Amino acid sequence: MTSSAPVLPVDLEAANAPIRKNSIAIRNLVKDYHTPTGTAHVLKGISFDVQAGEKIAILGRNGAGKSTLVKLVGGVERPTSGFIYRGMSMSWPIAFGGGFEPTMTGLDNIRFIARLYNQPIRETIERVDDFAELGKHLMSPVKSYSSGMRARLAFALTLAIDFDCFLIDEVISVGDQRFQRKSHEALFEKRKHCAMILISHDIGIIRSYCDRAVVLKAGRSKVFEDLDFAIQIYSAL
Amino acid sequence: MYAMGRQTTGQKLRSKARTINALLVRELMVRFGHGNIGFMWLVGEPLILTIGVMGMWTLLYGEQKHGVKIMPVVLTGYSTLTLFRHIISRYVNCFRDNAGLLFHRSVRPVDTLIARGLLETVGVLIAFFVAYIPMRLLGYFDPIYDYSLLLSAWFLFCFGISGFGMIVACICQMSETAERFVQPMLYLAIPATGSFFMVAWLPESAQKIVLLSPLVHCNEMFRAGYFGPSVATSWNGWYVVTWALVNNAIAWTLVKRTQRHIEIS
Repeated sequence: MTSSAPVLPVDLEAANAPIRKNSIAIRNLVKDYHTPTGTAHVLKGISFDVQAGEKIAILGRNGAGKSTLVKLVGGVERPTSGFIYRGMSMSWPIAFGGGFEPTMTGLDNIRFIARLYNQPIRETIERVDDFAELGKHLMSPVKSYSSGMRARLAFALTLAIDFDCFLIDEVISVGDQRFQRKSHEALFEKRKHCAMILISHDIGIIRSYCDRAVVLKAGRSKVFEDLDFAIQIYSAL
Repeated sequence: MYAMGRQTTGQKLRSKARTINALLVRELMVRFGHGNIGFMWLVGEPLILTIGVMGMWTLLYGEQKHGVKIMPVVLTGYSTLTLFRHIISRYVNCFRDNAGLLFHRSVRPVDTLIARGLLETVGVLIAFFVAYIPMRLLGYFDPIYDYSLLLSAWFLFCFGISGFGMIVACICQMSETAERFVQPMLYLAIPATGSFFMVAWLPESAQKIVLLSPLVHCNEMFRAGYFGPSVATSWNGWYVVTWALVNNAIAWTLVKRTQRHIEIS
């Protein structure tokens, strides 16, 4: 934030783009936080679109506003101004375990999600178990899980519901190598048709899967159709 | 299904009901789990307290006080007091406890409050009847005189207290200092609940003062439903209704504002 490089201008093209029906459209998103040291303008007008099936990368250094953007796009916090149009169903941040209740068993956590998203309970349990391979552990409280097991459960839960768009916040590296391979396959091959918003520092992943990129800097954004160019800019930030 | 733009009111209501139902079951599991008698504790917790106090009072004051059987007075009073204490202490930490759930877009902070409120409303009422029925069968208690009055008093009370609890929860969300005052206030508020006395027992000057408290009206109304005209009660239903509505009007406005400012770390 203290860098002396010029700030990004407001991306007018993205801000004024027409909104399509089956898309996610983010327009002029502004988020201020009131802190003891004064108002922090974390996001200062973010605009971009995600069309059906499209994979878009969000690139930005630490402090550029990525996690705030995730919270707004995920719907946890409300923007100070601007809006998010959700024409597709969107997942919570993939593998996010914050919604777990540690004292509840894995099964109860799955049941809760199934109820919340109106999914058949037994089928959801089967799907999650099939993927997370937790077996008997599902009957123990989540607090007794190792962090790897927790991540596997969280990942499997996100995948158990058929979202049109997945929100992925830097957590594709869950579990051991075998599980990583499995989750990559589940996400990028079996769900190739799904839209994704990918927030990652892993240039390799972004290069292999994303179509476009949004570069975030000090609360401003710019959409790049040319992925390589975006990565170049990001590396130079 | 996932808040996809335009929905009919019916769809919205159904999806709200589903969310609250899911939260309710979750709340039950979190608090009581599957172990031993599980969610029967929802009833068991308030029951232990009520029965204990009923026994103690009977030992201390004998079977009757001012010509009224003491046990039903304690049962009615303690049920409302338990509800009052439970709802407020459950609401205070509600936003913080459930912040992680907000990544599920169908869950709004207010839904978590509603789920907790419903659970207490029903749980403590069941506890009331679980204590009442055996005592009735054993002949210690007279039958409830007017169920409709008793239940309207109960639900009005729950509605009003829920509004009050929401206000307290919002204030605590804004200021951590306020949270420190909640437990002492709950304790100091006990005389204002009217749980431990009947208005008719007090001298007239004191009656005027306690009848300023809508909680006293609720308790008297609840007892009027229980005892019927054989025991003197003083309450004004409209006072209670007005109080409950005003509480909720303030509460919902505040919650709406607070919801916008909830941040998760």
